[in-house]
Amino acid sequence: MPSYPASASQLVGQTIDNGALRIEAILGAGSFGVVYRALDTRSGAYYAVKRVEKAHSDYYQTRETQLHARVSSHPHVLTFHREIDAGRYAFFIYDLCAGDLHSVIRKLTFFREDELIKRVFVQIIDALEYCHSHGVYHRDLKPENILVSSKSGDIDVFIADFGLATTSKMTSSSCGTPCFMSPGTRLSSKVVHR
Amino acid sequence: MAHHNPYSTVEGDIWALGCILAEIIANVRPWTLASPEDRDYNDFLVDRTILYDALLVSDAAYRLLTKMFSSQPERRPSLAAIREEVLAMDTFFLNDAEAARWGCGECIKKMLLRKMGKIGMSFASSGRSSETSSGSFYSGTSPSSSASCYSCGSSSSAFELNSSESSCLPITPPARAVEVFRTVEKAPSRLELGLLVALAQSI
Repeated sequence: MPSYPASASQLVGQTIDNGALRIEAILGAGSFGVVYRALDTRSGAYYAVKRVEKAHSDYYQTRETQLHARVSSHPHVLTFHREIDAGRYAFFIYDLCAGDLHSVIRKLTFFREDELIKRVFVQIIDALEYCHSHGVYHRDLKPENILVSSKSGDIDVFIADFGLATTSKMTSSSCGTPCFMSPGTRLSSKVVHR
Repeated sequence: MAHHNPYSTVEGDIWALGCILAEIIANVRPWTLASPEDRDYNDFLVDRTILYDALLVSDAAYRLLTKMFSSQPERRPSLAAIREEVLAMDTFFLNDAEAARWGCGECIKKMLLRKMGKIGMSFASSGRSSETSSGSFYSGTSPSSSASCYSCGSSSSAFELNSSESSCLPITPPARAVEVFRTVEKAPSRLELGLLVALAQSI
């Protein structure tokens, strides 16, 4: 088990947003902050809550939030609900998913499942088309950034993590995850690996 | 210092989408970095049909992927075109007839040897490789199915089919593969899976 900063685990069991959400567990952590599972105390629905320290919540976080909000209403983009300002921290509320496409692929879920591949891949295409038509270019598409839910009994996928998204049709800053970067992307000199 | 070469973010996303499709089909990433110093990517630049061996994809999936992986961004298909091709696809998986046509055997053997190095295995019984190859690890549904030897690289006549109905069956690992698969911790790619079965059958 990864160890989290004391302040991150202390939040488990507490409520935020004037009691509206109860933090139940840590789902993951990264350079961006910590992601929790939270319960809406009125509706009983679960959400994913990302906590970011405001000192680190700079221009990039603001841009991520703006661009994600712009496309969030598409059924196959991860729904971003709201941002909560809580003094030292900011909380970002998203739909809760069961996992990511990477782990689903690793379970050989798609082996010889042509119809399932079509269903999932067309969902990704449609969500990406929606992003592009709204002037949002993701720049870090990979299975880890595509979240998966199976609430309907079938697999549904949602594009997530707009941390490297841009509104520029042309850019010279090279960014993304090396495995998924196109040859042109890579030639630029300013590299942001993730 | 390298120059700042502006690139189109739309086509960059479409390239990444190609990588995702490849991984969904084959459970492997085609390369670590799309750069000539990357061995897998360089192999692809030299001979694009390497994708058949690396990913075991159908002709139709191969055609779509190679377009998405065009070095010239403006030649990559639009999302609408990709969507249409995906929906029209019979299967994403290489079937026996296609394998025969492309004579994949020899390439796959090389691929397996490379993969083996990565997962720390060796052909312990390589002296019996001709026997190993007769036990197909991606054969059709019946043991008498003719498509066999991915591992030995013998002549493509090995892939000839007796019945037309089996020609449309995608290649499946036998139950043994699933058995072997359960004993390994990290999910292997289909090539690794095939290798494990070949090894299991040769012991």
